[in-house]
Amino acid sequence: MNKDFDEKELKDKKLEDALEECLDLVRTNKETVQDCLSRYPNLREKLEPLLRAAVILQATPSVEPSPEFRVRTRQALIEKVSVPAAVAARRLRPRRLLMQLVAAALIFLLIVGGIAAASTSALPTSPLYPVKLGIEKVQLALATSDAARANLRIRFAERRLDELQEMVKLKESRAIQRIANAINKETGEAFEETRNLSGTDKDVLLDKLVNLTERQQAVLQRVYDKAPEEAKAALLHAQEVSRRGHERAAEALRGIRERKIKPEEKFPAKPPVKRSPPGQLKKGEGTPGKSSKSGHGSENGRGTENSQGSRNFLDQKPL
Amino acid sequence: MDEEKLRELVERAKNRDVEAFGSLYDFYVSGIYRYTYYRVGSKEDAEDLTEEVFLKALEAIGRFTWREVPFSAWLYRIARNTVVDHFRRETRRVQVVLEEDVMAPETTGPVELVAAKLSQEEVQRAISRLTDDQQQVVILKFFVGLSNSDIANFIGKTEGAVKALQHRALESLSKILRGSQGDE
Repeated sequence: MNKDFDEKELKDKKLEDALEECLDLVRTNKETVQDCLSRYPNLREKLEPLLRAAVILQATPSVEPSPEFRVRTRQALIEKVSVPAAVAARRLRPRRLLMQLVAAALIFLLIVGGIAAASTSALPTSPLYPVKLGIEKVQLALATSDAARANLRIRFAERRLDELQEMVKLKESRAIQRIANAINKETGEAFEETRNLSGTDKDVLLDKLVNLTERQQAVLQRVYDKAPEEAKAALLHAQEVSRRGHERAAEALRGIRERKIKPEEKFPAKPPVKRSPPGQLKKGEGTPGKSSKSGHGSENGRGTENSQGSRNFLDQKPL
Repeated sequence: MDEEKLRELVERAKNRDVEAFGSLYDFYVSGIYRYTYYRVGSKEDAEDLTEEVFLKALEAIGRFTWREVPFSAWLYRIARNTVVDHFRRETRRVQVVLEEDVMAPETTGPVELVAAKLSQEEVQRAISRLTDDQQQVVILKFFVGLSNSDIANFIGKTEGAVKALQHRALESLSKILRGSQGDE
């Protein structure tokens, strides 16, 4: 009994090895199925149907994701990568005093060296551009209030918009994509800082955000036709994010002004139901990947974050 | 992509480097999409699941270590679990058909399989009748292009076991395809 079993096992092993060898030879066009079968006359009967089935699999037309899906999902992931980093940075606030001291020393050195001045007009393609971004980080670390940080973020978002226009002129597609993301990121941070404010500060900053996002959309629209093809998806996405940011800022501002008119209203009105953008993103509320058909991302309390990971960071919480 | 480049991209992606994660996505998106498509049989579901896989990978990449499994095996395990979750949700689908159930009708004499091109849908339907492990091996070998060694890492078995699964899978597919040709 054991002997029979061992013999069968050995035969199977031989067949599996022969199959593996033939699959490799046929796949790389070194031999035909017939050539390979003639190598193993004793196994031919068993080997032939296996190789025929393998040939059918290999001859099946390749299935590929659509280019539109690839671009849309890539953008959503990039957006998702950026957001938690900002959140993580926010968690470091207890160390802010130390950072401020270090930052003050750094800024002093930079100013003395004259590098800072030279970098203020640096474009993303310039070797001084990282210095410019470094100085911006230092300025943020030195800011002592949410309002001051929000104002800085707005100023930086304006800068990115100017840089974007220059990069479009230079047809620098990679830089265009990076800056388009940076515009959304800076604007998103400005929204975050504004969220914590109240009173006149909030009113003023919301007004600035309305104007900022309005200008962003105009510029993004204007440069779209002149941009290289490979950068267009990023511009379109940035425009969409900005449009929704504009709507939210305008809505929040309206809410504040209406409450000023009606002081008896203690709580803000329920926000209106979000509407889908007109056909620019394929599925959901800027949530590429979750079709209403399957709707499975948030079942069982799991997967909500993942399935909605591409959600626009500008509209996660009320302003 | 060579090993060194892959390690560099993964390390940068772990530090939330946007471009590195984008490059990993570009490199793996087609394979993950093909894997999910041949598992679930719907292009729309495959798109949803592919995105879900990368979002989960993004969440988990900080915990990835090279000591356990190669990066591709790690990523395809996420894909496998995502597909399993999908099947759990899609209760209408009867997923697993045991190998014994796919025995072809008795035929008289040898039947030559015609190596005609079958559509993706026909092939997917045939694959869906294999056992779960057999499906993994066939899809990863013939449609994703992974090596036996990578597949072994992925399913947690030896290369010898992968060869045996491949043998059984092709045997079953041969019977299924002969059966479907006989039906026509």
